[in-house]
Amino acid sequence: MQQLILLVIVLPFASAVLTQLFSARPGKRRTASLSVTVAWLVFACAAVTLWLALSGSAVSEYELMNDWGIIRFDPLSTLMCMVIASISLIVHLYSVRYMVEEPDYARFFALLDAMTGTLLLMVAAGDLITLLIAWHLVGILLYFLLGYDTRSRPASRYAFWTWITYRLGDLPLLLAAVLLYQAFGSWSLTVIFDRIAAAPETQTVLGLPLVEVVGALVALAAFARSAQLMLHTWLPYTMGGPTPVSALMHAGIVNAGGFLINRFAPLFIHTSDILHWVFLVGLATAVFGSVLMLSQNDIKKSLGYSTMGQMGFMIMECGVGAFSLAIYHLIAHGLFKGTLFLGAGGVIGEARKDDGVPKDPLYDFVVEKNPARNRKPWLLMAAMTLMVPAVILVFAHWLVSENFYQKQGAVVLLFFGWVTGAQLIFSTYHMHTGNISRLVSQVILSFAVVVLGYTVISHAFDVFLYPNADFRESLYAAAGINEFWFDTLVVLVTAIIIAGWLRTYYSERNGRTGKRALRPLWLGFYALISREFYISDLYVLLARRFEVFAVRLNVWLRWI
Amino acid sequence: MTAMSWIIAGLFLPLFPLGMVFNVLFQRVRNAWLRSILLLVWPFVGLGVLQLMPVNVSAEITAWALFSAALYGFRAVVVRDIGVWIGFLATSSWSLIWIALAGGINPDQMAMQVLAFSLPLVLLVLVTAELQQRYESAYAGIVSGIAQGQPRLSAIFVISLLAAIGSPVFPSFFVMLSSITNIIIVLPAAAFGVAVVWLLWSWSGMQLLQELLVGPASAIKHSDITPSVTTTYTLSLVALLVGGLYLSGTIL
Repeated sequence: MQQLILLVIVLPFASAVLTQLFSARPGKRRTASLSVTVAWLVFACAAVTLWLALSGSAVSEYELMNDWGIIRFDPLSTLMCMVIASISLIVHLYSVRYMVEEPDYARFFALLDAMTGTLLLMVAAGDLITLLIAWHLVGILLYFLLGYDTRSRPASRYAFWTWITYRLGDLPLLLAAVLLYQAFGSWSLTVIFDRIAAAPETQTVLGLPLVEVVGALVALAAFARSAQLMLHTWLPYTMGGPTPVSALMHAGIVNAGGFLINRFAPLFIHTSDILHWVFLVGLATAVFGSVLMLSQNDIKKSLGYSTMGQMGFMIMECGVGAFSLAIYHLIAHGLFKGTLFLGAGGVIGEARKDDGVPKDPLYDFVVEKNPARNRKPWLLMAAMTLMVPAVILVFAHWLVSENFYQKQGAVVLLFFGWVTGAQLIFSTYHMHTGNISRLVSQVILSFAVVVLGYTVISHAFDVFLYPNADFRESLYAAAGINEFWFDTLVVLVTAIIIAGWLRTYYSERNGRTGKRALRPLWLGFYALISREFYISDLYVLLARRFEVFAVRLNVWLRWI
Repeated sequence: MTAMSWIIAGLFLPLFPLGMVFNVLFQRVRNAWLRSILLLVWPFVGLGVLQLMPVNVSAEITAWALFSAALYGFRAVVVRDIGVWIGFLATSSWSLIWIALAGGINPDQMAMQVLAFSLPLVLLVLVTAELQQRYESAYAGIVSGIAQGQPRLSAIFVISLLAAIGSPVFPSFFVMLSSITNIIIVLPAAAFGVAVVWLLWSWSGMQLLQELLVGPASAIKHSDITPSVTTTYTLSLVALLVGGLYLSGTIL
């Protein structure tokens, strides 16, 4: 039955070819019907393979070529296949009507099927060559999906940005793959990971430690694919493509970085510093993406930066050793971001009739910045915010593991829970309600969701994806830092969060007063973020210089 | 190996500035079939010289070959004349044969590697001729919007170009992968350089596609290629794909 995973991969490619072949025949809907039927079939097969993995079927591999073309059936591949098949099915169903008036309707479905097949191949690849092929093909297909409207030059230009960033990200993965092959003489991931476990001290070029070099290269490839800071400029601008493509890209393709780091988890457990860098890059991306998301007035661009921020969180989770949480995050993010994109058109349509902004105290506080003096339960809410981490710890200690307090990764996750819980409580607090008991019960419910999300669900993912407890420990250990620095950071971040709350309380009590001195600073900062920190401008400038130099060289050499 | 042999080898497996000779010739020859023959024969003359007088490729020659490949790859980024672009890409890719030699490639496989680079370019020459027949020019930017006007021709052009720039699973993809694999330990900087050359091909290829495909269709109606011609090109591309898979089993 595990062979079903082969069908999951083959079906979309077959559908792509058939859809294109039948495109010449009349009847647009018939073309789409074939593609959608196959999407349903792929979904059903992916569901069965996931069920098999959940019921404890052993990891197996199917080799189609000599030492490559290996398809892997394991928890990670089956889970990711299910995610991709689900998102692809939703996008297919949505596209049937959404794209019906577009020319080349069949081409769209053929490309969509080819992309689905390639993504499925990527997550089920059991060797480096197959992984490289799929990794490379995703970039090519995405270029053609984003540039689907061949009349639109801007769409094509931004599709090119995406393409070149993806190709840039292909190179580190390529180098990592060939270094691993040269060290261990095989392309098979299973063989390579076994040999790394047996000889983690293996050295590579220039006497450098292999796992550190390859870990850094894999992380770089993941950064390019998941739009991490300085490799992100393609993401917010690729909104010229059809909405279903944006949904597929933001819900599925961009998550590939988190998947890749998970796929190489057996390598990362032997690294010493790489995961710290991964954490820092993720942190910077999360902050940068979130700041820019808040400053956009274009809903799609705002969603683009929101994705960037979320990708930062996902990579950050990998950086603290919470690999399986990153998978949970990418699934959750995929579902909600896909929904947002597919609903964006409707929201824009509604907004043309009514801006939907309520003229209530929340609007006054968030938009008008007026103080809301009549809010009474502030202290209760603040107290609950402080209770969040304590109760999470107790729950985790009780449900997950007795030494939960001693795990650095767990404490970092606790911070995620704390910040998210505090944010939820803050939002709930500002909800307009006269019923205080209802408000408090909502807060408790939200809080319960956070506790479940960050401990029980992440633990369930941990156990499914990495059943070996020692391996899970090794992941957290690889991400761990010196105890003194860890405690210092905990205190520092706690102080920042509490200071933020105090600042919010102060603003709420006093409105805009006392802000004038800081106004020029804020204006300067706003100017900076309105130009998106000039990063895209810098890249455009560099690309133009590069091209001008090439033209001069060609003129000098007479174009021969 | 004598100086003359070096010059002949450097001329036919182009090392800058000797690669200019091929490009002058390629630009002068306008007939598509003659261009195809040139693409197929030229590097084999170089290979013949190397097989007659086996050569030990020094670090200097490797660096020179890499510089030549990178130079033509870089210059191709701004080229919009498809004929010139094909010539530049051929020069850039054939220069990499020297790197493969430095990596200790089996001489029997050299011919296959050369063909892996040349065959997609031959296909591209033939497709470009179709384009030229319709528009009287094959200059991206002047000719644009062919995706709207000639969807079948543009699809074949796109796939041929992807094959030429080393996309999976065409033969040149495996040749590039094999070259990098073979030299990464002995010459890590050269391996990185080859990867950068590959990136430059991707950049230039997509720039060219963008100019050619995107935009409104030409006001003057031009015919598309017929379904039978499309089938012929498609079968050639499928053969290239199969060739790529076969090559992967031989060189990796």
